[in-house]
Amino acid sequence: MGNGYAGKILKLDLTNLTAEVIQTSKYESWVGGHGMGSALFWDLCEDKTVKGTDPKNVVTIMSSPLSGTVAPSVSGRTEVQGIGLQGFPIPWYTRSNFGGRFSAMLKYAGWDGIAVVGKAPRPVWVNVVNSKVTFEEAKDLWGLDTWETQEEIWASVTKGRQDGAWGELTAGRDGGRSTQRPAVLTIGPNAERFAPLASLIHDAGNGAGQGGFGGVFASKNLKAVSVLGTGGVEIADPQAMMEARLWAQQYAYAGHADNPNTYVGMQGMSAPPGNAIRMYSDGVKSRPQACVGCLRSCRGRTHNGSGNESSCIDFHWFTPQDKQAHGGFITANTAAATDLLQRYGMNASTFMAITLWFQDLIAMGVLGAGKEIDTKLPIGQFGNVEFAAALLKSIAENTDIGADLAKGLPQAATKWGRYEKDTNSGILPIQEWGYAHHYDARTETEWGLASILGERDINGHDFDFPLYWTPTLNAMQGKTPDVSAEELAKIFKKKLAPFHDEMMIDYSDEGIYSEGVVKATAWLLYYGRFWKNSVLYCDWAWADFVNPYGPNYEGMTPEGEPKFLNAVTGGDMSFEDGMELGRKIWNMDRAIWILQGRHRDQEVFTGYTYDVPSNGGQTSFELPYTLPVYEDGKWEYKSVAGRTLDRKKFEGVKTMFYEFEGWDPKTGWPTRECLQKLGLSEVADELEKAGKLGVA
Amino acid sequence: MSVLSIPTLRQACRILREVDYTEALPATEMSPTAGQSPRKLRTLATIEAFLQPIDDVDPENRKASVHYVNPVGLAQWVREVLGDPELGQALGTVATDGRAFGEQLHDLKRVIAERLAQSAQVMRDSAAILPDHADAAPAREAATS
Repeated sequence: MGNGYAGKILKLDLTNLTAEVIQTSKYESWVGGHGMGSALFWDLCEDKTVKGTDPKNVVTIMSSPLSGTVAPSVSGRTEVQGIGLQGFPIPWYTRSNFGGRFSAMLKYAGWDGIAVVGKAPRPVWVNVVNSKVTFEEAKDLWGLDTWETQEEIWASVTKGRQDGAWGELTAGRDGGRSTQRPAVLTIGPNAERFAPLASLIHDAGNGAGQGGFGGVFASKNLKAVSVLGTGGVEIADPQAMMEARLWAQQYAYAGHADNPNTYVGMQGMSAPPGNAIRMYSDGVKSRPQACVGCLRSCRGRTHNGSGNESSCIDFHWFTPQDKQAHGGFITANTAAATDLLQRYGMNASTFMAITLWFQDLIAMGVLGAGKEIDTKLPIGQFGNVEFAAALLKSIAENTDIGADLAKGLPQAATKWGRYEKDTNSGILPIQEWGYAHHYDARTETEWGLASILGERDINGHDFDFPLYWTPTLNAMQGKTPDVSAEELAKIFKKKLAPFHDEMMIDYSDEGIYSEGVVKATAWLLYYGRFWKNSVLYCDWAWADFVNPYGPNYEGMTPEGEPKFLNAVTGGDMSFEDGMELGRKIWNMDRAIWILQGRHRDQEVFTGYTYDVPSNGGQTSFELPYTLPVYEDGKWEYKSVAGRTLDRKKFEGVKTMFYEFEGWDPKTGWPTRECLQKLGLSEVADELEKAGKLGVA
Repeated sequence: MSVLSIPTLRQACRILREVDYTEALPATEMSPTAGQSPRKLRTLATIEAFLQPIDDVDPENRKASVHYVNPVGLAQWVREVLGDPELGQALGTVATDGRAFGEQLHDLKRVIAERLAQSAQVMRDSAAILPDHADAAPAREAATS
């Protein structure tokens, strides 16, 4: 029996156009995904201070032992890491993640991951068919969009056979036969022109959007990586896996389709499938679409093909403008704009910030023809796909204001003399590191703290769905949540291993500056770094704290995560073991940022976080905001809207966090003792060599 | 049944106008995917369209987003910015009745829709009586008065 690993990592040396094999066993202690990718990066990237566009930068594209198995809401995710281009003012070492079938196909082809080093002498795409790896000319593909590129590569690899028909991959049937198209990861047309905004796109709507990895690919003259495999994934204990899958089904809609729950609130694993969270216009029919092995099936395929496989922010960058222009309704403009964005291969999250900011700049008379920010873009069409098309084209072709935006949103704002002013007022929704505002440091403080201590918006909804969305939706509808604040505190105390502290979910004015928020932040970071980014459990389904199908509303966390992992690997990793490994990975990443120049003095939010409460209507990000609070000796749900962060108190929280980690509170740098305890002596050596080791 | 008296032509023009950016009503669109995004609503018609029922935020009908305005702030805005004290009072009565936002918004939306319909009818009647003045001149005059 196997252990979920294919056993090999593919090292692509683009400079010499050669492929090498790295034995996975060397990195198995990191399990997979981000941990394995960061460890590979550490070994392969000799100078971690280079720019993202430097040929010495290394990008790793990683699967997990669970990829390609039937483990739910995990096996279709792929993790990408390397020095990015999006971070501001410093483009940090960073990560991104996408769904679909790429990681599964990688495993079926016999690879656990890919490490891309160097720079190709000319545009290439990489063709992986099982163990055979070739470098193909990409000159004719370079200007094509992401969908056109994939169609060309599919036709090339399958030699034009019809979809679903059997095809022999190499000479003779022993070389493998498949009905499948290859899984292709590609960049948009001439992505080097809009590098910090450029995504990696796979199939119709799966994208690694954050980080600017599309620009990194372009800088390496790498248009795409195509993978087709005919193998399988051997696991240690198939019976345990099947039992675990059937167990998980009882926590999912799939196990209760005939009698679904009536729970009011935002659901993860237990949510019904399909329809891409209803961002299609009325009349569009769709069926659920899932990443490989997923029980949640959050995406859709539509009857008209528009908006296929996109989800979440892919739509939301344009839905508000569409609705505002069309009487409050989502029209076909949203899906059309979404498809355009996917075809260009641009980061939807950044575009949400751009359009929010633009709506204010237009209304203020700052942006428009002959205005302070002069543009010929069809401002009158804001909310229609014509505007989206013109905006995206201007960025892709570096014309009009697109020439500035193509260098990055905060960079454009700086050039236009508005960055400071508009992040102080909050109309430019960037809270940290140049990334678009998502959830708010003023209210869900652990989200903001984890993001500012890291390198990007954490995009971790673990606490957000049960602690914010569910009580808020109930409060807005005048309903009593199925789970009281007191019961919620008990559930979280039980599940928040290894800390088991209910005060981690106290969002009172005191709670957000307490040891509780420090532990909550650490939990999110360790869980994120390991269970989500390394084992690759999907953020849209895990962690499963509260589940209406579970006993006493208790979800599968922390029992579920190791159950599937151990069934595959045959190991006996506990949830707590995983959290400790997450801490190790987090500290390794931290060391890379320190080498890049990180210091605690930089870990400060933009001005509106501290100075603008929500109720002024300028940022309005937190109206209303109902969360659990512990006040006067009891738990209750309460709106914390209108709050700002207190600078001094927040600096105190930072100090508490550094001390909690064993870092130097003066600098935020890890100490040798801390790193050695985690088994990272080599990392400590490297920091010491750079004069950046924290003082105990 | 109508609870509001018929506005004059001048009042109707004010009610239907677009206010300046600096006077816009702050609003929030909540989305699980995007967090909370600010909106600035500048006409009563936009506000009416923005207010969408949230009763159907349930697992079978996964609404993508919730549209929120502060009901008390809305009533105040209508009184002080839009300049319609009668509508402001009607909205204020709803806003302070102690119910949850999701329950109030049906009534908020209904009252606003009624005011919009009244005002539009007044404009149409005005255009019918004074065809030579059926363009936007009255609206411009009222809006700047």
